[in-house]
Amino acid sequence: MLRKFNTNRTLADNIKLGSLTAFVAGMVNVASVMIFFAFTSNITGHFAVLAEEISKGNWYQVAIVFGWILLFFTGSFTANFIVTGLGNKRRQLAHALPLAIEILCLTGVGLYGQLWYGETLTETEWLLAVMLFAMGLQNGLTASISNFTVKTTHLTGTITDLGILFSMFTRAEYRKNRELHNKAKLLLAITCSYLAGGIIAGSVYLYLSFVVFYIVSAILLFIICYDHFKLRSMIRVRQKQTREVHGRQVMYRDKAYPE
Amino acid sequence: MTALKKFSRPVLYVAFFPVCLALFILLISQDKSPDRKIVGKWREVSWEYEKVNRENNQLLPDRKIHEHVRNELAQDLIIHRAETWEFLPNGKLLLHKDDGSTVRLDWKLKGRGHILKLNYADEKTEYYDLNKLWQEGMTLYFDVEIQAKGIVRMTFEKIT
Repeated sequence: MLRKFNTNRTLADNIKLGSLTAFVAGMVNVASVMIFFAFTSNITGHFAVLAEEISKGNWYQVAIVFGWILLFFTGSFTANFIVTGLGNKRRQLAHALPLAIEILCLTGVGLYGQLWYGETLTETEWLLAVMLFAMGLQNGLTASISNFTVKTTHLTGTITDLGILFSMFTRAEYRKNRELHNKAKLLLAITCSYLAGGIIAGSVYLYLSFVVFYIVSAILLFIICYDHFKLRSMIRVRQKQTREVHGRQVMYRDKAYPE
Repeated sequence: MTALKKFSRPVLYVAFFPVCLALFILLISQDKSPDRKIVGKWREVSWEYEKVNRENNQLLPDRKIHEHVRNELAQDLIIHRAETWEFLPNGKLLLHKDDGSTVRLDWKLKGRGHILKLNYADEKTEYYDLNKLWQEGMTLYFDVEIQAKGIVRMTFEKIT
């Protein structure tokens, strides 16, 4: 899911990565709206709010919303910086590290929320800032490793692309295009997962409160572990194949050139 | 020229985040946070509908909510018949009613300071949209479900 880069990625890789991260983004966004009354997985709305606050001259709120947008940007910047910086040498680490930082951020939010959150405005602003940074990291990572194909923290582009694709499918020549079909499958998987994440977070938040963030972190941890073990099993299979090929070569050589 | 370009690019990258941070500090120092601005005593000035119905393509003139309707709207709310609201810095809100009694609530601000959460004795919670907050006044919105009239705008002026 994480270990392949850009053009080496299959549809299945992208669907797995897209679905799980979109599920996480949906959960985080709904939880943040329910707890803090602000969105954290998309920033289009924050730009609208920024413009509104500038026009009202509320400079404190302008600073806060500007800071949130900047942190989302910084998250995306950091993810790509890690991916391209460690990229070819230690690819799995490069792809897992942004997720590990995201886990730290979201677990931190959950822990702080459970133990110390006194519902002050400053705490709310800081916790939202951490969540926006985490979502920026996630979006930056998925976009970087999928060659900008998978973006999972917001659905504006996804729904736009789906609208375009379904419009294209009204014509026979596009209906047969496998690439367009695959794109539609990926986008639908992202949309459904985001929605499912949101519904689940909305349903369980009333009972679990900040524990929702531990569930989100567990899913992210699963993504890292899944990739790690899948990679190890792939290496084992390859080593076994290499040994078999090598064994066969030795056998043929012995038959061809008996001593 | 090429050397200057080569030099200026990393400088631009390195300078981006400190410049943004400086802008953030500059902006935040220009204004008080809403949870500090709201502290003090506020007197209710008016209750109005945010939007009113149209009749023959003309807006009905009466946005103001009359006393008897107001009482009906507010009868299930925590803020029922309060004249003066006193926000204390420790998160307590004192509602001074016109009969001389006082109700004690908890207040919190959510989001970017645009949602006012009121909590009464850990039993009842209400949310108000803090639409405007400035030195002399404050406007709160809340959604009334009855009579399908929509959103009510409460305006306050600061006393102290």
